[in-house]
Order: sequence, then C-alpha cells, then structure tokens
Amino acid sequence: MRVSNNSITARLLQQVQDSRARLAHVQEQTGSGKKVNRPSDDPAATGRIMTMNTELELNEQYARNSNTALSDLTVSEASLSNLADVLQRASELAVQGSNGALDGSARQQIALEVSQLVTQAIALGNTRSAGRYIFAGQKTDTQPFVPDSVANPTVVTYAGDTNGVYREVSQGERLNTNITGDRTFPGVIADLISLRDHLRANDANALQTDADAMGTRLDETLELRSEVGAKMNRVQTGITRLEDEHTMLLTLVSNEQDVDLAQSIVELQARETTLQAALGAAGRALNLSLLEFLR
Amino acid sequence: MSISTGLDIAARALLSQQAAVRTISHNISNATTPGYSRQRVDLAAMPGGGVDVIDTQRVRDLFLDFQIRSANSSLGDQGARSESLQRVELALNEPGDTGLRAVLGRFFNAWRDLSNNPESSSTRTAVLQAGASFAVTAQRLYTSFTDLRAESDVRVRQDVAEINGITTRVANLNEQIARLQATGDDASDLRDQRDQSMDRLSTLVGVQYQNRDDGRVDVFLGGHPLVQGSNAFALTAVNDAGNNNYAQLEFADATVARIDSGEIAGLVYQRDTDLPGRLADLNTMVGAIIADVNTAHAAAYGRDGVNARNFFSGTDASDIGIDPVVDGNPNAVAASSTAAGVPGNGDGAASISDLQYARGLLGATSSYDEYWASFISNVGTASSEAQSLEHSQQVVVEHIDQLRQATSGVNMDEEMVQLMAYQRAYEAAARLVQVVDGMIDTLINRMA
Repeated sequence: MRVSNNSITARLLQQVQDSRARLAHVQEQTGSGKKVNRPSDDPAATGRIMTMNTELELNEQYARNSNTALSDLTVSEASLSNLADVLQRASELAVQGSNGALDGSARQQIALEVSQLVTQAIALGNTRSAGRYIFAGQKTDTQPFVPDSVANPTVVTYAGDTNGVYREVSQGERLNTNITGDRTFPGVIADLISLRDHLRANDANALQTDADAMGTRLDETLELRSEVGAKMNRVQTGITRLEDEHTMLLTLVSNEQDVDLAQSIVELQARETTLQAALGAAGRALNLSLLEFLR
Repeated sequence: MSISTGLDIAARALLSQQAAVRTISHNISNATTPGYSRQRVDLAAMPGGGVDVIDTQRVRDLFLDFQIRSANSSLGDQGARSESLQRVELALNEPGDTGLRAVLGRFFNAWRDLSNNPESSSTRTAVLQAGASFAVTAQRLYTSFTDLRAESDVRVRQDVAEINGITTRVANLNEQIARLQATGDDASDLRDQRDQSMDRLSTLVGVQYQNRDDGRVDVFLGGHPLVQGSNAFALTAVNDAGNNNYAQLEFADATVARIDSGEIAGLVYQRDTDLPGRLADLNTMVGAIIADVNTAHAAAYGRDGVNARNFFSGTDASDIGIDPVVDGNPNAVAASSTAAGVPGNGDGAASISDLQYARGLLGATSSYDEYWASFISNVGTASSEAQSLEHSQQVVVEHIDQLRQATSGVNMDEEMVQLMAYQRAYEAAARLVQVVDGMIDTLINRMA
C-alpha cells in the first residue's frame, strides 16, 4: 500500500489521541476512585448501585428510627422503674402503718411520706421526653395526669388517649414504643391516695388491705417494665442487624462502583507507557524522509 | 530525418520534463493541503518522434469517495445522538448524591423523621425543604431536557445554513469545472475543492449524487435536487407550529425534505423522538409522585387539625412545586391520620413515606426507585450504544480515508525520486540539444 505523508501524520495523531483518551479514562477512574462515573460506563451496574444506595439510605433511616424507639423505650423503662421504687417504698410504709402497735400520730407521719409518693407517682405519669408526654398516648402535648388539687390530690383524671406511637424499625415493621397512661398509673395513683387517706384516718384494718394492694400494683408495674425491656431487646437486636446490613451494603456498592486502586494504578502506568511509546514512534516516523539522505 | 527534427524532439522533451517537474512541485507544495489529490502528467510518445504531455490528471478513486460519504453520514447521525445522550447523562448526575434518586430518598426519609416526631415544627420544615428540593431537581431535569431539544434545533438551523453555503459552492464549482473541461484545461484543483465540500455535506446530511459527463455533479436529498448542474436549491428552516416552532426543512417549492442520515438526522431524532420520550418518562414518574403524595396528604391532618390539603402543586416535572397553601406553613404539613391524633400521631406521615415501597408504576410492577433506576439504566445503555456506534463508524471512516490517502495522498519520497528521474531526463534532453548543436556545427563550420 502506498503511504502518503498526510496519512502518516493522520495515523500517528490518531494513535496518540487514542492513547491519550484511554489514559484519560483510567485517570478519571483513579482520580474519582470510581469505575462507574456515569450511566453509560456500566448501565446495569448503575441501576444496581442506585437501588443499593436507596437501600443504604433506608437502612440509615431505620437505624435512626430504631435509636429513637430505643430512647423512647429507655425513658419509659426508667419511669416505670422509678414507679416500682415508689411502690416498693409505699408497700413498706403500708406494712409499717398496718402495725397495730402504732398510734395515730405515727400514722400521720407516715401519711406525710406517702403524700410525697403520690406526688411522685403523678409526676412520673407526666414524664416528658424531648417535650413529649410519653404516657399520654398520641396526645403528647397534653399533660395526661391532672390532679384536682396539686397540694392534696384526691382524684386524678387521665387526660391522654389509648393510642399507640409507632416507629418504623425496618421496612413495613412498625414497633409500638409507648405505654399509654391508662395502664397501671390510674390504679397506682388511686391506691396510693387511699393508702394516704387510711393512714390519715388511722384505719389499721384498711391499711392491711392497702399493703396487699401495693404488692399487686408493684407486680403490675414490674410486668409492664419487663414488657418495655423486651421491646428494647428487640430494637437492640434490630440495630445490630441493621449495622450488619449496612456493612454488607457498603461492600456491595463498593464492589460495583469503586475501582481496585492497585489495579487501576498499574493500568495507569501501563497506559502512560503506551502513550510514551506512541509519542516516541511519532517522533521517529516523522523524521523519516528521503530528504535526510539526499545530499 | 533532418537534423532540426532532432532539435525539435529535444525541445519538446525539455518542455515535457519541465511540465512534469512543475506538477511534482505542485504535489510537494500541497502535500499537507487537506483534500488535495496528487497529480500526474501523462507523457506519451509522439508518432513523429519525441514526447509530449497528453494530460495532467489527479489520482482519485471515486468509489472510495462514495464509500466515505456514506460512512460520514452515519457518523454524523451517531455523533449527534451520542453527544446529546452524553449531555443527558451529565444533567442526570447519576449515580450520585445530588441526582433525583437521592433527592427523592431524602424526601421520603424526611416524612419518616416527621412520623417519628410529629409534634416538631422543625421536622415539618425539613419535609417542606425536602419536597422543594425534589421539585426543583425534577424541574431542573425537565428544563435540561427541554434546553437540549432547543439546542438541537438551533444546530439543525446552523447546519441548514452551512448546507446552503456548500450547495451554492458546489454549483459554482460545477460551472467553473464544466467550462475548463470544455476547453480541455485542467480542473483537478477545483475538483478537489468540490470533493471536499461534498465530504463535509455528507457529514451534515446523507445525500445521493451523480457525476455528469460534462464535469458537473448533481446532488439529491431524498429524491429532491439540492444541486442540479450549475443551480443550487436552498433548504429553508420553516417554523413548525405543530412542533414547538422547531425547524422543519423545506425546499423553496414547499416540499418537505426527507432526511434519513447525517448530523441533521441525529439532531432531529434527539429533538423529536429520543428526548421527548425521556421527558415523558420523567413526567410519568413525577406526575405519579405528585398525585400519590397529594392523595395521602389530603387524607391526613396538619398540626392545625385541618385535612384535605395538597402537598405538591402542578401535574408533572414541568410545573411541580410545593402547594402554596402548605408552602411556608409547617403546621399545614399533615402527619396525623386522625384529627384526634394531633399532635402525637405520625401515621399520616408514615402513609406518605410508605409510598416509596408501593409498586404503582408500569402496570403496578415498579416502585418510583425501581422505575427511576431502570430509566437511568436505559439512558446509560442508549448512550453507551451510541458512543460505541459512533466509535466504530469513526474507525470505518478513518479506514476508508487511509485507503483514499493511499491512492490520492502525496508521498514526499516518491515525489523526490520522480523529481530526480525527471531532472535526469531533462539533463539528457539538454545534452541532446548540445549534441545536435555539435552536429550542426560540424556540418556548417567543419565541412567548408
């Protein structure tokens, strides 16, 4: 085949440009650390990367939701734990008050402490977390336990509702994270009030019954607390699973998307060498001319 | 044979070698001129003795011209498609943290946060911001695609102007070449110019052409003449009221030009078929999101206890926005599934975030995310196909061009060798003059 001067230049230019383009491609990959920088780099992988990125974001959201659920439950658990302490103390005081040897003034003394316990129990029912009344059902902005008198409550009404609060801890799984105040609290408060009143009235017989009632309420409360504790365990397990999934998804996305740096650097060097060779060839080929030899 | 005949022969030889050397210098001078075909003098022995220049011809393979022009038209077509699709990819910004996928994901996660914390005004504001960000991103894509269509149209118009310039030039060259050919003069350089114009024309639009015996070339576009003899027929870009006032290409006699290859074909395909299809797909998804979110939102109650309000305004990606009733009014963002559940009920917000899982698109087989991922994969496939077709077409064009260069290109070494051959022939002819002169000298001066 005849070779014209134009075609030599054109071909050399083409070779150099091809080398440069291939080098630029590897440079982009090495620079960005990604082998898929745009859909056309690998259309199918792009689809998978997008789906997995959404799954990753959802995973992070579920982890956030689970942590919210965990903090909801932790606050509930602490309040119920405190309520159990209140009842424990009330139970002791009831037993102490039911002692037939005690006189009226001694019972008045005990009544003072029980009165404090009533206030504490009401306060625990009105526990707030992040500005929300956690035992008010969905009426989280309404104080759920309203005494008729703050100083000396005789009737305490529940102003919340019986609706659950839910957290989405995984796709489609909504975990109920609240204990509504209609459970246990009204009974506990009413029983504490009657204990106080019986102490004041120096009614030793009734106090005997009150001591039993306190024991029952304590069991109820502890049962509720373990219900919350079970949910906390479940959320905790879920969080561990979400973390495992997160690591796995990150690995999968990285497999699809990220370049193997060692490989891409070797390739980068190989292509640089190719370009240098092409440039070298161009330099030599362009110098070849009969004119060099005609003197 | 008379002695003076020998002088005549020598003189013609001198002139012929000179002509050959002149042609070689012309070749050497134009070795790098684009589109130049090397020229060759045809020398022939004369019946009475001696040599003469019969003709000067360019060395050209017309079949290769035909092949390269056909390849050029495909390359122009694929090139336009590939470029447009690569710009679509650029606008989409996927896979990434700023594309529509990421923005949509953040939108639904904002609803999940609101569902966790329906009492909070700041989570409501975050939902509004995430919604606005989705609306802006969808609109930006809509605008990008629409702008790309408009740019394709601008380039169609520019190409039409260039085509008209080329056909006028070809018609003029036709006239000049025909005249030179009629008087037996050499029109090689004008033919080279015309061929170069034809090469460029074939990149812009696929044409048919026919070389005439009188040296002219007739050019046709979809059966309608573009150049006939020395006349050019201009194309006009007529605003098509039925198609966004985009250019429709017509001839002066109002026939619509039939274009099936070349850059214009690629541009028109992107403008009228590919991009509108992608816009429609974008609108399908955005329209469904607007409708679905609005339905769920209207069923739920705001912090103010009011329901039956839309979240988004608009109907598709062209006009999506936050509904003015909700915009700037976080308490109107509905999170509760019941009026009584305000403020602690987040089930309304959850019903909106659950839309992300629902498979409502493509005949209830595809979620928004799945739909969008396959949209993006489709763009990627189309773009990578167009790029590889463009590349392979590029290789074909280069290959044919190499073949053409092999025939028509100037090789300096070859020219130098021929130059020396002609130089020697010239020297020999000059020596011949000297010898004949010596003979005449012998005859006239020594015979006395």
